[in-house]
Order: sequence, then structure tokens, then C-alpha cells
Amino acid sequence: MAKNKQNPRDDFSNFFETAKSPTLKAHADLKVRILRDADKTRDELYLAQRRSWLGITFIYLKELGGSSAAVGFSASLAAGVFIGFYSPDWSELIANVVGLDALNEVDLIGSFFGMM
Amino acid sequence: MFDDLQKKDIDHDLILAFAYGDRKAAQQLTERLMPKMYAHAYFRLGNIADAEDVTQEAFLRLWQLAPRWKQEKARVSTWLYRVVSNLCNDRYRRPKLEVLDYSQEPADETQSPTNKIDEQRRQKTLYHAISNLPENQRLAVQLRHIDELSNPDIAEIMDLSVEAVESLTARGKRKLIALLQTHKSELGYRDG
Repeated sequence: MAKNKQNPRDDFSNFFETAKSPTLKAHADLKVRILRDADKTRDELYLAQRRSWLGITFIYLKELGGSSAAVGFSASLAAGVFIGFYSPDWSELIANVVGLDALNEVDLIGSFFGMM
Repeated sequence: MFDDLQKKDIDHDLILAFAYGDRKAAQQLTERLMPKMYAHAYFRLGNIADAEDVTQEAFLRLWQLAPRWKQEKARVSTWLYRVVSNLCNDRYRRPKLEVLDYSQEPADETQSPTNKIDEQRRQKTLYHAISNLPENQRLAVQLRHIDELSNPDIAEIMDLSVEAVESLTARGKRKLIALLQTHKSELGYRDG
């Protein structure tokens, strides 16, 4: 493998080819270790993201008035959503008695002027 | 230029994909960049265990940074070179290491034992010569001539101007040639 060169200066780049040789391969185990770190980091990031969302929600509810406020807030939210989708039958009866339905406008201004 | 842009986009896309939980992206990024980082660390530290530790540590930092990775930041490879280089500096300041430890090196079936011994001897000689350069020159020469990075990339890694890198590389190269003149036989060069 000897090279017949008079002067290394003439073929300087060959010196560096030595350092790029295939003998400088890493163990296959290194890739496994690196990917294990990647998995671990990804799991930690996912947990941290979840924790941060839960943490923000918890702090917000605490500011609102603690656990009782959280329960009340959640219950009213659930009830609101439920009524929005499944309004009870008796709500129509009340609307008929009062003479209102969802499409009627409430003429507050007219009655206000009528009083005058 | 186009290749550089394409490489930038690929590594950048891969790190973002990892940040969104794509395991295959981490695998691809590792396959693309790990051999270069390992070779760089190995040639600077001359020790397999340390080179592997440094490479692993650099990638760990990359994974941890992934969710905050910005487009305008350095290229992933440049950033990794900088981290590997800094980690090597930290280790290099420790007591002097053995010159290129081959005792636990993975077997390379493509080479005959004789060729392998010749190559290891040349590597040791080159490593020894480069080790005698001042640290900045050594790093610049390695990044330019072994890792084959461009001067602007080296400037970014070393946090220097391009002109300073050119000067360092030129001085390092001159000094290295002078050092290697005395080791021509180990490098496989014959007189006459």
C-alpha cells in the first residue's frame, strides 16, 4: 500500500484520506444507545406537555375558587352542552305558555315606548 | 448550493418530525449524521469509548432541543459539530489520552489484516501530528480537511470569522506538512 511520492506536499490530501477510512466505524451499539435516548426524550417531552396542560387548567380553576368551583364549573358546562343538544320536552311547553318560540323576536323597545 | 439547501431541509424536517413524535425521523437523522460526528470525535479524542460517549451526549442534546428548534438556527449538522467539538474540548483538557485506541474497534471485514495494520499506523501518525498543532489550528484543519466542511460552516462552528478560519487552516496545514515530513515512512511514502 506504499505510495511512491517524493514530497508529501504534492499530495497532501492523501494524508487525510487515512482519517476518513472505513476503520473509523462506530459500534452498532452506539446507534441503539442514541435511539434509546431519542425514545426516552420523546416520552419525557410528551409527559411534560400533558403535565403543562393539566397544570395550567388546575391553576386556572384554583383561581376561580378551588375544587368546589371546578366541580360546579364542570357540571354547568356539561349541563349546558347537554341541554344544547337535547333540550327537555317541558321547555317547549313553557315557551308555548309564555307565547315565545326560538324564532320570535323579543320586542323590548316597543313595550318600552308603549309605557311612555 | 442546491444540495446544501436540500440537506438543510431534510435535516430540519427530520428534527421537526421528531419533535412531533416521529421515531423514524430520529432513526434517519441518526443514520445521516452519527457516522460523521463519531469520526470527528474519535479523531480528536483518539479513544473509542470517549468518542461514543461524546456522540451520544451530542445527540441527546439535539433530541432535547428538538421542540424548540427554529428554522433560522444553524443547520442541524453544523449545530451538532459545534456541540461535539465543545464536548471534545472538555474531555481534551483532561489528562492526555492514549494515541488512537484500536483495542475495541469494530471489525471491518472489507480489509485484509495487513492493509488494516498499515492504515492504523498511518492514522496514528496523522493523529499524532495533528495533536501537536495548537488547539484552534487542529480543529480548523480537522473540520476542513477530514470532515470536509466549508469555511463558512467552520466559522459558524468555531464562532470565528471566515477570514480567521482561512488563516488558521493555512497555518495549521503548513505546520502539519512540516511535522509529517519526518514521518513519511509511517505514512507509506518512500524517498527516491
